[in-house]
Amino acid sequence: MFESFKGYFSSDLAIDLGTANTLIYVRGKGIVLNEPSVVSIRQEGGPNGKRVIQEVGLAAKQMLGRTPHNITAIRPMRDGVIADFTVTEQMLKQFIKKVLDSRLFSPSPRIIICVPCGSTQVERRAIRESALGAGASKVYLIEEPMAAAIGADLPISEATGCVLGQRAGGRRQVRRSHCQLYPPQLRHAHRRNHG
Amino acid sequence: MLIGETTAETIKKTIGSAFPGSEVKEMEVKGRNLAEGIPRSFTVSSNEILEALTDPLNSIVSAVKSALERTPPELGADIAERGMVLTGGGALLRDIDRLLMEETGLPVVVAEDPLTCVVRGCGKALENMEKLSTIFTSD
Repeated sequence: MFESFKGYFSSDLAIDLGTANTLIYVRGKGIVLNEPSVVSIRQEGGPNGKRVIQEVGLAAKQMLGRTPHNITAIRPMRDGVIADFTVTEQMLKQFIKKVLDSRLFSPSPRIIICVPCGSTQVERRAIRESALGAGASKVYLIEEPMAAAIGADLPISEATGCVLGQRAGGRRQVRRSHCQLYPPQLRHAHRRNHG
Repeated sequence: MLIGETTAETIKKTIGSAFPGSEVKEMEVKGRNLAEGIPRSFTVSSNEILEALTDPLNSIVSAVKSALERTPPELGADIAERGMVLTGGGALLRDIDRLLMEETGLPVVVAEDPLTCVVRGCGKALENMEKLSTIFTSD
């Protein structure tokens, strides 16, 4: 009862934290953010100095491959899991700050966040913790193929099967007529009856 | 010729395709000429990109096939009837549905707006949290 009352005031979020792009859906508003999962970090004062987040998202992506020596632009997610925990948490924080209007006394949001289907418990915990660190009051995890199936309007509550191939963004390097795409993620989901 | 990651991504999105036979597209790309060490521009064709994409595409196809092999027969029957749905940004690669159709012989469709499929699904789960509470993973 209290939960749903609180939910009325807070803007709950659904987040697809992907290797290539991060998308955020706000309840009642739809998709409000679609930006590359890239963070640029500025190193202050020598190699042992503080690392400060310079830009996140689109602005950081434009810096990829164009950074001066004291700034690095990185993708904190690799193959759908967190490769750099602190940076991912910072990135999430920035994105969430971007989409939530700063009302006084607004309760912290409940967040649904996607995890890849084959991810380990450690990876899931890392994602959960970084969402909590980014200011969520409660975090729900949902498997990506399941979310994609709902998004694609597949009959998830019926006891029939369908296949869903999901390919998230990988990373490539191209030399002339030679290119490599780092392990593309392909996940499959056997539909189960969740009715 | 050496090019950066962002340029490579642009090439793939612009002229990349997963299946030979469709029209050949060309694109002007700028990068560093390895022999001369000087920035130059050159033209790549979609055939060259297809060649470069062969390896990752093969791993996609074999992943799909192994998933199908491990599918219980009753579920497999449903799949033969309904086919498969592609989501995620990779589904936007030109002709990837055709490639999978040829390789598996199953009907393949690309979901509507595949890039935002996952987050829209999450959003629906958010709107119907009480009804769909069983779909969240516990750990």
